[in-house]
Amino acid sequence: MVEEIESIFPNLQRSRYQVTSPENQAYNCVAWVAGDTLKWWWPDPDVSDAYWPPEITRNETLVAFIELFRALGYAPCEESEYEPDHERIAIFAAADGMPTHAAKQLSSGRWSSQLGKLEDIEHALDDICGSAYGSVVQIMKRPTNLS
Amino acid sequence: MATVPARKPAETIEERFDRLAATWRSDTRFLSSTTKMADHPAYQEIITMGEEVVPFILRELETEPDHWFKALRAITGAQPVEAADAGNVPKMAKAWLSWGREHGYQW
Repeated sequence: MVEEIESIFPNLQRSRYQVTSPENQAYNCVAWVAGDTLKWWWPDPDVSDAYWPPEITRNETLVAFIELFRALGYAPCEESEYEPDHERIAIFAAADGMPTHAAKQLSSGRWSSQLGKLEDIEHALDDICGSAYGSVVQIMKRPTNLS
Repeated sequence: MATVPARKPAETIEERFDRLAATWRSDTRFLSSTTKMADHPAYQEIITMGEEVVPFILRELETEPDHWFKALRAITGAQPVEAADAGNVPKMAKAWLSWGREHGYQW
C-alpha cells in the first residue's frame, strides 16, 4: 500500500515514485538486483535461511556485498549518473555499516527497488534514504553487455 | 524500531501468537535482512512460547509463506529444508508443512 510505503520512506511523499509490482514474499532487493525473482538472497549465517552464492563471503558486511556484485561483473565507482553503456547498482547501509538494501538503475536513469516484502518501486536514489535503509554507501557499475 | 504491545490478561496462546505475528509482520515488511527479521522482539517472544505455537506458525506458512524458518528450527530443532532450496521461500514453507504433517501437527 502506498500509505505504508510512504510512512516507512517519508522522502517518497515528496517524490514522483511509481509502484511497479505487487507485494511479494519470494524475492528481496538483492535478488531483484541480481536478476533472480525466485529466491531471497541474504548472507545469513544460517545457510538454510536464505540464498547466498557459496563462493561469496557469507557475512552481513559491505565487503561481502561488494564481493557479491563484483562476481556479477560490477566494479565500484563514484558517480550515480546514468551512462548508456553501463548499468549501476547502489548498496545502502545503516549507520552501523550493516548493509540494508540494494537498488538497480534503470535505463531511464531512475532506480528500481524491491522493498523487502513490499512492492517494487521506481524512484530517485535519495527517495529511500532515511531511518529504514540508511544511506547509499557504494555505487557499482558494469558494462551493459555483461548483463 | 519495534515495541511489542502489552499482553492482555485473558489472552489465549493463539491470540498472543496472532498479536505478536501481526506486530512482527508489520514492523519487518521492508526488511531484506533475515537476521534483522528474526531479531525483532515479537519474533523472539514467539520463540519463547515454545512447541505450543508450532501449529500456528505452520498455519501462517500455509496461508502466507514468510520467514518463520528460524523460529521453527529454534523451537523444534528440526531442519527439513533441502540445502538446494535455501532462499526459495515457497519450497522452504512446503518442506516445513510436510514435516509438520509427518510429525502429527494439525492447524
